[in-house]
Formats: sequence, structure tokens, C-alpha cells
Amino acid sequence: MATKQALGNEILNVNDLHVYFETPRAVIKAVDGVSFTLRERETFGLVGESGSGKSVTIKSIIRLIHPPGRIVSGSITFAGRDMAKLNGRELNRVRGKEIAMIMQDPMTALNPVLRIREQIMETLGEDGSMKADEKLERAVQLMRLVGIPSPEHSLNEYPHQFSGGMRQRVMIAIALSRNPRLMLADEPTTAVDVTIQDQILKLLLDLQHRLGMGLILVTHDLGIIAQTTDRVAVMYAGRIMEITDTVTLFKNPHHPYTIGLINSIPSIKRAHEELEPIPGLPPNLANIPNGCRFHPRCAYATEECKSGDMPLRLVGQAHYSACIKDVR
Amino acid sequence: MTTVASLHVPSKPGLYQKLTSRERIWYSNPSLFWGAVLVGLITLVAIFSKYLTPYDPITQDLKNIVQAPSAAHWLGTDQYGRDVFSRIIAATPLDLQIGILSVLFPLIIGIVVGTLSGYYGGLVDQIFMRLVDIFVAFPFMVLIIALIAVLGPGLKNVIIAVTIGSWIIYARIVRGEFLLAKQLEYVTAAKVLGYSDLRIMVRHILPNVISAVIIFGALDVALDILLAATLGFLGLGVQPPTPEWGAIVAEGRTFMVTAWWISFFPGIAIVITGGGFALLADGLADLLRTGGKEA
Repeated sequence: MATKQALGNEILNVNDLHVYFETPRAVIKAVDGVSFTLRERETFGLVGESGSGKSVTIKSIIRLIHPPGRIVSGSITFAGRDMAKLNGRELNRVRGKEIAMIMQDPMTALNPVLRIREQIMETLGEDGSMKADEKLERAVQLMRLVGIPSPEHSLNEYPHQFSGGMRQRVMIAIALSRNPRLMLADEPTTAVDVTIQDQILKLLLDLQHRLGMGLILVTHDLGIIAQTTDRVAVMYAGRIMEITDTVTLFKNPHHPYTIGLINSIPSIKRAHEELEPIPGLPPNLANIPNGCRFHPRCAYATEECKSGDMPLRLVGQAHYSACIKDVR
Repeated sequence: MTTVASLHVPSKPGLYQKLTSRERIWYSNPSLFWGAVLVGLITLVAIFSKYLTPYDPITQDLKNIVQAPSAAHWLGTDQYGRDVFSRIIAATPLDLQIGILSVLFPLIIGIVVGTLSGYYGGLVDQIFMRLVDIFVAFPFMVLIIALIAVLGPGLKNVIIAVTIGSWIIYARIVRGEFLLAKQLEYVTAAKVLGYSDLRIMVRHILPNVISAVIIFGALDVALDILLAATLGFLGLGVQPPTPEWGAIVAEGRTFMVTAWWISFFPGIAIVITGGGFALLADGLADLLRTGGKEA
């Protein structure tokens, strides 16, 4: 891991976020009370199974929740502003300029009818502060930054002439074009193969350190979390189950769900042992179990797990877990 | 460091190169080639129609009525002794105008309505689509005839009536395409970059979806020329003695048995024009489907 620079001030504070999808048949509680903070230059990972609410959480930060979805309550404070209270124009000023986002699927995230050049240059000098040749120069510089060979040539091409990995690099270049302070990456490597995945992650981290951005990485891959993040939150059924620094999470996990996730990673050292999957399926978000959300699948569950609220509690230094027991 | 001068690298063949490299179009897209040739020729005829008519298309010559095609009158004369060839040529700009304008106006209205409806959805969509339903409830021909009955016959009113009757199709096509396109990640990516709705609609989505309506529009030109001919045939279109293909066919139909050429040749003109635009539409569809997307 690259040497970490000192972390700066807090730039993002998500407090008790609730995002519900209100359909005629049921209310889907996709995010149900999530809180975390992010400091400057920090890499924060959100990990969980499909449907755990990790994507919805970061989409809420940039207000990408569309009806029937709704941010029901909670606050998202970015650099002193409450994102939930921004009007359309203020929101558009924050988007792209201060918070950028990388999409999951590089194959569809670039506009097929516009040349790469047009897509990169469009974000530059929106206010007319840059002349055409300055924009071009900056575009070339950005393409170099993300490691695209012969940018002068590539700029004139269309997205379909690029491979998936190259498109993801272009996406990153576009996201970086206005020097954002916070980068959101929603499973940036699920759609590319493993070698490219490694390159993209290294590139992201390298850029983050060089440019001093905060980075939130959403993934279902614990390997990526271990490789890249400073701090992690493990999400399950719309809640954070455990939140701590990455080293502690892997060395000394507290929550049975985290333990289950880590045990289900294949390992070379334990090549002859059977993998231990977590039994059962995540709950239906329209009908979440009472008490601890994980108790129907938990090997350690007892009567007291089946009722009451399960808030995060301090179980170590800056280590919070939503389990009332100490099972480790 | 960066030398901007080195940026002028020839790009891969784009639409322009595709359209200009003759052998490619000739072999790979004959529909487009022949459609463009036909439409081009018809347009030239329309522009220079004044100089191409051997006789005055309106002045009657009662000594030479219902003459069969001959060296003097290539396509014969009608019941008032007017040269059929001259009348067909003289009608070309008018019919072309009807065909193109009665596609252009509904196209513009349809794109605006379809874009707003598809992009915003919700209440805007509900209002526009219920409006569309009202128009769909009437059979198309009945609606057009009723509108012309109210507005009165004539070129301008035909175009107005067709516009009112056919914008809904364009609106539906554009709306449908927008509903699909707005789900795609590049739209979300554009939102995340803080672009305004207007910009996303016009610059990012519209170029991706416009080909469908353009193809339909090219085909619709052919249909509208036929429609204008139909209305002319019913006496609701352009009024005599102004030559118009449909009207000439209608006038000639009483002489069908004795003087077939009066109705036959303007009919051929309609077929050629309609066919030209249909070929063009087909060729455009091929071109736009593969254009910029072949991997």
C-alpha cells in the first residue's frame, strides 16, 4: 500500500440516512439509518452483498435518487453544506466540480455519439474561463494522467473504439477534469476483467494520493477493500453492521456477519478446506426482521437478538459493531 | 509540454467519409444511393420546373384536347388541351413542398413534446400523452378531412391539417426512445457532472435517438405526398387550375377508358417520388444503424 498522507479535515458527514423506495405494494427500506464520516484524502470502503444499500447510500450523497425512491430523513453534510437542501442549480454546481462519480459499467457510461474529446472538453471551462486550445491541452493532460497511450489520437475516437478498461480510464479522466474534492466510485471494476481491475484500482489510488481527494469505494469484493481502503463499513440490509479501519476489520472482526464474509473468501493457505458460506439469503427489504437484521442467518443468535434496536457500539479503538455479543 | 499542433491526426472514417466514399455507398448501401439519386433528381426538377415545361401548364388549348402521347405532347394532353408533361413538371415543387413541410412541422413538434414527455415523465408525460390519446381516438383520414372542412381547402391548410394529425406519431417515437435512453448510464454520468436538464436532453440524448424519427420522417414524406394526392383527388387539396399530381389523377379518371395517359403519368410521378423517399428512408436507416456504432 502506498504511504498514507496525513488525513485532513472531515469533508463528508452522513448522519442517520434513511432512503426508502415507496412502491404501491410496499415500502422498500434500502437504506435505514446509515451514518459515517469521511475525511480529506481518506479512502473509505462500503462493502456488502447485492441489495445491502451501499449503492443507494452513495447515490444519495450526490442526490441521484429518483422516485419512487426518496431520502426520508437524515442529513448529508458535504464541506459544510447540507446536500439535501441544495436547489437544482446549486446541486449542479457541486456535481462534477466538487463531487465526481465513476459509474459501474464503462460500456454504457460514455455517450456513444460523441467523440472522447467532446466528452472530456465539455466539462472544462463551463463558465467560459478556458479557451478552446487550453481545453484541448487539459484534455490531453488528463488522458496522460489516466494512462491512455497517444492521447492526441485517442481524443478523436468514439467510445466504441475503446476497450472496457480504456473506457473506464476515460470515465476517470472526465471525473477528474474539474479537480473534485470527493470521488465516489460505484463498483468501478465489476465490469472489467481482473488484470484491468488491478490497473484501474492502482490508478484510482495513485490519483487520489496525488490529487488529495476523498474516495468512497463501493464494492462487494472484500479483496478490493483489503487492497485499497483506509476504513470500511460493512453494510447489511440497509444498515452498517461494522465500521472500523481496514486492518482491524480483517484482523479482528467483531460482527458475525463480517466474520462470515471473511470466512467465505477463498484463500490459498486454506486451499484444502471447504469454504464456509453464510447460510440463507438477505432479508426482503420490505419486510425486515425485528431486532438484529442478521439474526435469522446468524449462528450465534439467541432470544435477545430478536427484539429491540441494535445500534452500533464501541468495541475497540474507533471500532464500532452492531452486535450485542462478543462472539470472537 | 503538450504540442497542440500534433493533434491534427486523421480520424477513423466518420459519417462524412462514409457518405463521400463512392464505392462504399454504391456497394454497401444501394438503397441510400438510389434514394438519394431519385430525390436529388426530383428536387432539381422542382427547382428548375419553370424552365422544364414545354407548354404553359394552365392555359387551355381547346383545339388539342385529349391527344394521345406524341412527339409534340410527350405524355399527351388533357380534356382542356393542356400538356400533361408540363402539368406534372409544374406540380413537382408543390407536391415536394407538401411532402417535406408536412413532415418538418410535425417532426419539430413531435421532438419537443416527445423529449419533454420522455425525459421528465410524471405529470408532464401524463398531460402530453393524454393529449396524444385524444388525437389517436380519431381515425387519421377522418381527422384530416374534418380539419380541412373547417379550415378550407388549399396548400397551407393541407399542411396545417397534416401537422395537427401526425405530430403525435413523432412524439410517441421520440418519447419511447427517450424512455429507453434515459435509463442508460451515460445519462446518469452526465447528471453527475452537473449538466443541466436542457443540455442533457439536447446534446446528450437527442443525438442518440434522433435517427429513428429521421428514418420515419423520410418514409412519411412519401406517405404525405400520397396523402396530398388523396386530398387532391377528393377535391380538398390544392384547387384547380393549379396543377397537383393527385388533382390531375382525379380530373383524368372520368377519361380513364378513352384517355388513360391523363391519370396514368401523374400517378407514375407519385410512385417515383414516393419510392425515392422510401428508398432514402431505408438507406438512412441502414446508415444510421451502423454509423458510428460498428465495433
